[in-house]
Amino acid sequence: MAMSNASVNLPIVENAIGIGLRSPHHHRVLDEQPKVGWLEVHSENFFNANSTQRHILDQLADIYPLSFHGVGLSLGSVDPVNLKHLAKMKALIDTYKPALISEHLSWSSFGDRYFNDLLPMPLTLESLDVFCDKVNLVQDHLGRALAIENPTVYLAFKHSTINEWDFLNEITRRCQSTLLLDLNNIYVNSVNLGLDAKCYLDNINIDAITEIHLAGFTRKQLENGEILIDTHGSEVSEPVWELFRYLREQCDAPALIEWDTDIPALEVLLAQAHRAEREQQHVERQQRVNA
Amino acid sequence: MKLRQLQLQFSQHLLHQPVDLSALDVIGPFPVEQLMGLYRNNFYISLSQYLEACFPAVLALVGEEFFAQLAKAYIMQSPLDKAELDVFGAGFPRFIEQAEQTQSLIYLGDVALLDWAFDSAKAVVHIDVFPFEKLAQLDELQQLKIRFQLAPETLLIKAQYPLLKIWLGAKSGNLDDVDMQESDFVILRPDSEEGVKFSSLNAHQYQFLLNVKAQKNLEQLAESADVNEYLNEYISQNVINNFCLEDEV
Repeated sequence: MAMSNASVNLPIVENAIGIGLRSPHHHRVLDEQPKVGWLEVHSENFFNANSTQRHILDQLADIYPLSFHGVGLSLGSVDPVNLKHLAKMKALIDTYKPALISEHLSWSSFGDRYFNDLLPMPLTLESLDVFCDKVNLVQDHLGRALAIENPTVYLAFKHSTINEWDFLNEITRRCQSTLLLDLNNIYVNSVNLGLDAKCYLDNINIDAITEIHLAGFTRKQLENGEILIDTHGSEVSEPVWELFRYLREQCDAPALIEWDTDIPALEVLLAQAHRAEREQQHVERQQRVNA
Repeated sequence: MKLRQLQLQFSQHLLHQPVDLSALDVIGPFPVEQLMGLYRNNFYISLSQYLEACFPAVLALVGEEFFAQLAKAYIMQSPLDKAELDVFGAGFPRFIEQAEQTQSLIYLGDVALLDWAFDSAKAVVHIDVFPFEKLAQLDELQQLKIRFQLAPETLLIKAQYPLLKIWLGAKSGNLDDVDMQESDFVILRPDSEEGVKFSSLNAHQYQFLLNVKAQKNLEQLAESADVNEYLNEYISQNVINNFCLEDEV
């Protein structure tokens, strides 16, 4: 299978900082064209070719490099790939030729019923086979590599036998796919499940990372204590900025500010993008000093 | 546990079906019931928030708590059979109309219809302009057989209550001047300039447009209305924006 990105509409440059484009900001971004490196949209929101969203995306595609972030392929489900969904995805990708295409290490459907959520997988050899078979099928159909995003999980399964980073690394090896590393997800999981976030970054295949996500979480009180919820509804937290600086020392993949709930004014989103630029400039200065 | 069995039981838990959660072999910072409860809440809350966004006037009329009950019942009854949510709310107005708990709010289903139709009309990107040239090419006999078409996503509703005032009042938070004894005929449609237009009609206007929507031909329309007056009005407003020949139906 050819995994060429030669037909990309506008490429995303190294270290570029982008923002997730959500409907409350469509018109302002189009009118004001703020200086951001790229835009990411949820693929499923743009399947309808006759929608006003598509009309806006048509215009933005001439201005910004695009990334299509899918939430509906349900690659971790034992259900077969939904070919109707895949056909819509292919039509969208063939139309816009985005620089990046991504999906999640999760499942969201069973028995043809969808749950509008990214549900956790046990990390076993069986899951790895199921997931890789579907990634291969999708990539063959699209003629493009997918970036697979590490998930937020609020629980683990006792019968898991593989570390998440090893699981993701093996997917990239078997499928020639890439990684979308969400640093907020790593941080949230590290707090909730008592894991070591920097150990995760030390073990993930840095060379496979083609995109980084930065987002915020909220704290939820349960009966027995507090848990972090990956709501994408607040500013990036300081521990996540720290992980970003740590990763930036070794990885220059483009990064994105992702904000999906309680969506703030565009200025807030842009300020977060500027913070990301400052953080990576700081890392570059440190590297020059150390050199 | 095999992946298929795990996903079956996980799904059943999300749908409130009885499941032995201990069989899932879950580990985490809290008891399995609380952790699985997070996923179940996320499922209902995300779809409920989607419905809230689609039905703002219904939400304003019944409040968050009652809306959440309606939404949960609808979500349980209406399987989401694809990943996109675009048409998931389409059945909500009918569900509201039939739900036991809304029977005292007779207007609520129609308010929901207006909410849904507003978004549908707003999403129309292009509205054809009436093809006068094509019409001029037809002879008189052919013209009598043509069937006019309403602009896409045009909604017509006949109500035994002041529907438009209730809908607008709910959206603005002011229902003080609504006289529930009034009846209403409402049209809501896409508009090239304003996005969406809506207004009340009189009974004759409503019946004429309903006949157009029912695909009656020009000859049949002329039997019950002053066709020229209505056609002039509605073609100039682009409410009627196309026609088809009898053999094209």
